This record gives sequence, C-alpha cells and structure tokens, in this order.
Amino acid sequence: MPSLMREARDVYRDAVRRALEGAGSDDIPRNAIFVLGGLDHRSPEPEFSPQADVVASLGLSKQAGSQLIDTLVLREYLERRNDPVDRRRMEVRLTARGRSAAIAIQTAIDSIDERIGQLVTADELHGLRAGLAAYRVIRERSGD
Amino acid sequence: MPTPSIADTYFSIPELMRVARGTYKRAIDIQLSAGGFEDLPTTSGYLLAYLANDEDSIPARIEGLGIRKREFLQLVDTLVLRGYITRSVGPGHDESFALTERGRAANEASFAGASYVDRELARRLSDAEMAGLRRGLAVLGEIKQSLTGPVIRRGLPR
Repeated sequence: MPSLMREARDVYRDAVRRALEGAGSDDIPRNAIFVLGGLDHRSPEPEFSPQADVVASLGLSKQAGSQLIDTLVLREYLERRNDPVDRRRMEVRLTARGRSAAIAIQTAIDSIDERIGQLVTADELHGLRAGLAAYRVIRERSGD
Repeated sequence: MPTPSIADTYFSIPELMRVARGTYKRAIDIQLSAGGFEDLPTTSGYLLAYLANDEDSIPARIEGLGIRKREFLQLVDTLVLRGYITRSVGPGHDESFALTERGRAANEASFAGASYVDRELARRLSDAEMAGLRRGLAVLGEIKQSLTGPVIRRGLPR
C-alpha cells in the first residue's frame, strides 16, 4: 500500500504543474495550489477571505502560512488588505493572475478526476475517498 | 467503526491525498524513534526493505522511485557511515550491499509502523472500500505513467 500511495500521490501535482506551466504560472509554491483553489474565483471582483482561514486547512505553522501568503502577494497572485471591520486582521483575494492560475489548477484536477471516473466504478471511487479519509484519521490519532 | 464522513464531503481527492500521504511516515517515525533509529534518512525505507527481501537490481528500483543516482549514492554513503548497511566491491568493480544487524532492526521497525497503518485501515474500512482504495491508487499510478511532457520541479518554497 505505501508503494501504491507513493506512485499515486504525484498524479495531481504533475498535472497541475503542467497546467500552471502552460498558464505562465510556474512560480507557484506547492502548497499554494490549495490556497488558490479554495478562494472565490468570481471575476472581476472576487470576495476577500480572512488570511487566517485561507491557510488554516494546510496545517502549516503560522510563520510558514504567512510566508506562503507573502510569496503569493509578491508574485501577484493575491491582493491583501486590512479587514475593514477589524484592522488587526488581514484579508486576501485572487488577482487576475491568481484567477488564471486557479482556473488552470481546477481544470487540471477536473481532468484527472474525469479519467479516474472512467477507469473505476462508483463503488471503487467511494472506496478511494473513504480510504484516503481514513488515512487522515489514522494520522491524527497515531501521535496520541 | 463507520467510515469517516469526510470521505463524501467537499474535500477533493488531491486534498485528501495531501493529508493522507504523511500517515505512513508518521507511523514509521514513531517506531524508528522508539528503536533509537532517528538518524535513518527518510528515503531509506525502500532500500532497507529491498535488501531485506534480497531484491535484484536495487539501484534501478530506487531510480524508479524518482531518486536520482547521485542521491542514491549519497544515501548509501550515509547508511554505511551510520551502520545500517555494508558495501563491498567485487572483482568487476560491481558493488553489493547488505544489511547490518542495526539495518535489519530498523527495517523491522519501519515494517511495524507501516503494518500498524495497514491494520488500522483494514479495521476502519469495509472489504469493498479497501478494494476501492487499492484500485483507485493503482489507477492513479497508471494515469501518472501515461502523462507525458516535462514536469517543472524547481525546489520552490512549500
């Protein structure tokens, strides 16, 4: 199973990397794929999201999360501002460049999902998702 | 135990895989730490397992995992220096490797960690779900092999 996992885990990453290369966005840090993919894609004025929420699901340290956002702002994938309601907090949203990258990411993920859907049954797909979710639970509890 | 509900919620497969992929490493690290093998390099597990199973063509198999030859040679040097394997050079300058007692014990610790995860998976999943997991991962591997074109890896920040 670890060998299967190792072989499988790069599929999405490779597909996304290729798509980003094609979109002229090959300077995106690895974890940023999940950041950009999770933000509002609407054009031309996407909603701002709290910076803390954007990086929370990645399980990064506060410092690493901030560095990741800094990089994305510097490379013009994100726009950042102070929360107008609580100015101690920061908010981010996609720029036009970020939106193009987010669309490339989603298109690449969808293409792999579609290929999986053609190659496995619905029950097998459920098993894949259930199994990956179980790994997460095992991982969280193995440190107890 | 019932399947965790997150399996069917909004998490995409890459998001699930991102979290799942460190599970074996964490379980193995716990066993290695308990056995005093904290200095075992991360990528050593496969090499030790191949040696324990007397696999042929070890350098080729390691390269198949995406580990470059230079990295493999550095890994071997480190494992020899730290007492996990021995290296001997034959009359035709061909190299062969063997596990030391320490290497054998570390391999058993790694195996125990991976086995723990597999047992927990089997306990938490139905037979059909387990079969689906195996099939899904295998299909992802097949898709990976079928994808062509360069993949950019420039050591960007995580």
